[in-house]
Amino acid sequence: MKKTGQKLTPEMIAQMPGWVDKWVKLGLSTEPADFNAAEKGVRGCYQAAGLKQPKIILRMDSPYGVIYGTAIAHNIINAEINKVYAQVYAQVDDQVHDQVYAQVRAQVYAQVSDQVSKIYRTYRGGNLWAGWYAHVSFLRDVVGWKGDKLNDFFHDELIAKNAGWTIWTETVAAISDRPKNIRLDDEGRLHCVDGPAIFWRDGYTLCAWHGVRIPAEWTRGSFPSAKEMLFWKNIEQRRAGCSMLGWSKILKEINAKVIDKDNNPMVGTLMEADIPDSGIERFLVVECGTGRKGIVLPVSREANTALEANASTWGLKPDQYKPEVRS
Amino acid sequence: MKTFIKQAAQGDVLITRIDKLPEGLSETRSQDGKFIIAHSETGHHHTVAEVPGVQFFSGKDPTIAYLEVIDSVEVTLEHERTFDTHESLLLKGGTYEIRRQQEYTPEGWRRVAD
Repeated sequence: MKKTGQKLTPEMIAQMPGWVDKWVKLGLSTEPADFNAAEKGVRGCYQAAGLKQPKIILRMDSPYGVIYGTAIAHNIINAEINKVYAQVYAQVDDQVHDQVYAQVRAQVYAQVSDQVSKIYRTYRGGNLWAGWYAHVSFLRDVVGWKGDKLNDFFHDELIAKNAGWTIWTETVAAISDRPKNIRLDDEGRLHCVDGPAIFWRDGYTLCAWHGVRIPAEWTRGSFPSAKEMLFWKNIEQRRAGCSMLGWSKILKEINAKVIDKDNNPMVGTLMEADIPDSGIERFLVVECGTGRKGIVLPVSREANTALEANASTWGLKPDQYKPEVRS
Repeated sequence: MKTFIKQAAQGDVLITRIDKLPEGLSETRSQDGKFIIAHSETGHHHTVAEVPGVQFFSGKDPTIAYLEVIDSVEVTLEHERTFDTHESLLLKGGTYEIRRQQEYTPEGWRRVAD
């Protein structure tokens, strides 16, 4: 896009809140997809990209279905090509010397392989990419941006307005329905403590706790042991799990005691616990720069102060760890 | 945006101004116009825009990297997460050491994963 130097007028800026509301509603819509409209968009995108139309456009209930449906349909469509391959293979194998056979087989295989591997490896987020469509359509409809490519954008926008995630291959395109339900916290993050935060009509679900993806069993009250939770590999999930399980329960279960508490909560509190099957372990409970509490970091048993423990997580000595700001 | 003189932390990244680059570093290429200062498994990378006058380096220790910003340039260290985002840090001209936070496990130290 060329820089025009054009500035937004107060009238244009005044339209922003309405534009945002409109696209947030589309982005979080749980209405069933309008597959007919979305399919027009898909066909338009293939045409705009100068590609042959796909042999089939699947209508699936979820992004999960899109992935599996595309793979299965792709293989079915190419089965005829594979049959030809098998016939050639058998005939050549029967009639020709191994060396010739190997060359012919390689050539046939290469041709077949070329056919089946022409996947465009392209996907679009549909309504889940609402921010992009809001941005471009605002420039077009409110600011007055004109350009040849906007005709192509129209097809993509049509999909986003009417359906969810889509994937593209040479032979198969697949469109996902919108989610059936989306649960958010007060800050608009995916969140549900006792079930999926987002689920689709075929039963595909994702679980989240204040925006952090978590194992589904946690939302059913089935948590790992305190020890497993304290050493959970993903720190965001660890924080979420510890909060869901409850710090008092974890500390009680492992009989933890405070070794040193720094005045700065972002340096943290050094704790020690005798963990079953592990022995004495020390860990640091800290607050991070975003104000989130309960980040827990396992630290060396040799650390005796919270500052020493914190510095060691950076590979530093206490006198080398003096951040002026934390964010 | 936060500013600092010598040392600052952004989530699990600690950035410290140093006098000069150590020997034996390799220059790291940008990806899609950005240097990934600290990679996140969930895509919440810490990044700096690739602009003239900024170079990113790595050495033998995978938890330490280096950034060089010429004096006439300022860049920002961004955290690419749409929620609970760590505030951006302004990096003025200088040489920086970037450390990733680690945690201790019975098997040894490992990089904090998020």
